[in-house]
Amino acid sequence: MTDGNERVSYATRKRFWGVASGRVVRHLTIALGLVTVLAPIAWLVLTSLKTGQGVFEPRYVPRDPTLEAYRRVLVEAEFWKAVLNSLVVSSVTTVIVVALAVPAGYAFSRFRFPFDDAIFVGVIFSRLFPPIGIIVPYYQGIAALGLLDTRVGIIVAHIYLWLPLMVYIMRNFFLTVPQAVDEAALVDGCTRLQAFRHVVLPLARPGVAAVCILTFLYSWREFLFAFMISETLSAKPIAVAVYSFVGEVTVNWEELAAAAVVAIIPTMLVVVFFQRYVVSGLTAGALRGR
Amino acid sequence: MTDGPTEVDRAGAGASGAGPATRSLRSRAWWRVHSFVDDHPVLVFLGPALLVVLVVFVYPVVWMVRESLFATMPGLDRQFDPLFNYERMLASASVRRYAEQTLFYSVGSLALSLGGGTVLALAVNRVRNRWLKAAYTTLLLFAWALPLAVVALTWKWVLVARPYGLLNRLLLDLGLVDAPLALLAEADTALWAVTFVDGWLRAPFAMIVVLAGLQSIPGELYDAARVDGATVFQRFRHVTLPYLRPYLAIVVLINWMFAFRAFSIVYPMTEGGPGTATTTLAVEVYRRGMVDLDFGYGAALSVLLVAVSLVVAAVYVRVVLRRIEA
Repeated sequence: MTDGNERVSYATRKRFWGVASGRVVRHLTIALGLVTVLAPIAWLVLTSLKTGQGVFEPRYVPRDPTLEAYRRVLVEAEFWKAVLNSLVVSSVTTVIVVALAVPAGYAFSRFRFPFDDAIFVGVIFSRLFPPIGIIVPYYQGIAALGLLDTRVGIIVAHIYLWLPLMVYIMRNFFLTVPQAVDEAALVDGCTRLQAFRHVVLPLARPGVAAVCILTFLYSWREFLFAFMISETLSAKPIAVAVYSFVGEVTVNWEELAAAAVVAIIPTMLVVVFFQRYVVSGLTAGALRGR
Repeated sequence: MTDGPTEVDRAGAGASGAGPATRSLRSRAWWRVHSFVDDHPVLVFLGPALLVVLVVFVYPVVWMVRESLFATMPGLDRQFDPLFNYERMLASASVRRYAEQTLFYSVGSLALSLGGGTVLALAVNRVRNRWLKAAYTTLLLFAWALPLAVVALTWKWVLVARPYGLLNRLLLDLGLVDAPLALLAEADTALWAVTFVDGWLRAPFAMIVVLAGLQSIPGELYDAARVDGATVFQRFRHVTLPYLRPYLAIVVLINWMFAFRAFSIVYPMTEGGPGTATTTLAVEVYRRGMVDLDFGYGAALSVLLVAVSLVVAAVYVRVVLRRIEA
């Protein structure tokens, strides 16, 4: 009996120290991670509030914070056009990709058909294919269609970039809806389309939300294709336009910072409000279904 | 009332939530659409997506492979010569150096993102307060969500070799250095710097995947291990790690593969410089194909890059689809 009591108290002591030391280490780790992530962003915001010479002063916080850089970038340099381009490109890409990927993911999750596994593996491969490998054919194809320096050209490239991944993600979400649900609906007299539209799709709504949000974010972030296809502000998204402040010799830092802050605000808002969907989408896109 | 599905048993349709559609089925054309979908579900659901993938992906790939077989140099007549570009590529000493730099970059980035992501996931997973946990995840995800060029340029600004760059400001204020460090301007350190930024960018993804892995571990196992007197380290070694292994494998494959081909960090940060110190294969492909307009050579390099990627992709597919036959 005493033996037992001693063991318990030993275990309790050990547990207490384990928890206490674990908690300190844990919070230090997270704090370090947060500083590493947030410090550059904070530095960017602080820089964007400085003016001309203020950028080069040895200060962290601007002496008199001003929105002058934002006005110059958005109004004088007309970067509001780039923001508009970003919104148009990302939204249209999202609508098209989701409209195509949701039914396709449903098909992969439900039907057996000739070469189904092979086609599915093909979809995964096209998602893992390095886009840098086909920039030249892409550029020439887009040029041949007369779509250089247009939003449509960028949208085409973005559909290529994200459609296969979203098909894969949707398939994984549909796999979490039991096939028996469709069958019950069909037995009740639904057509296939009704079963999909009114029974399965509502159950897979979190997946559709995740795919919408991921596509939007990916499209907003993308650099290579948007950079290659766009030349002027008539097509250039804001995520590419920031790069135009990098000159041959000098960089206009406070204006670059202001443009960059404008470019990151939407992505931050999306992450803040839809974190759950971003996480579930990233997870479903990396792991196997079921 | 011979319109087929309008005969839906109302109670049954209501129970499965299919009610609203019965009205729209009144029209004959609509009924035809429905019966067409019933007859060819795969065609309707999958057809459009596959067609689009064929047009926007498969065609350019075929184009690229074909182009790599033609000898095209600026100022030279284009002719079919399958080995011309590949020989030029393999004979070039610089390609080997770029390959080494790419390897350093991708492995370094992976080490950082995997290590950092795993440690953060272990820490965040143990945070009890749900609200706090969500807040931490959200803030850490910022590194992933930012536009790639913004990430590159922000870090360039942090690392800039002047007293007004953030890093140098901090180091000077803390008295750790006497003169600003030129991390991005020196060949030795530039590759380290871009590698770090790439890892920084990919760490949140690793964290998310590892978190999913940690949540798949049954809590009872830890209790059992605790009762058996296992130390923290033993619990990690014998409970956490075995469960985490497939998730770590996926992070390794995806993060390495994507870092191996990365363009959007290096190019905006350094454009491959100083000199060619940070030129990765992807940057070289861009430079050859889009700047020098040496399409054949660019295509041959691309095929090399693609081949490496596809080998990794094949491993990934095996890991992810192990259960597809079942």
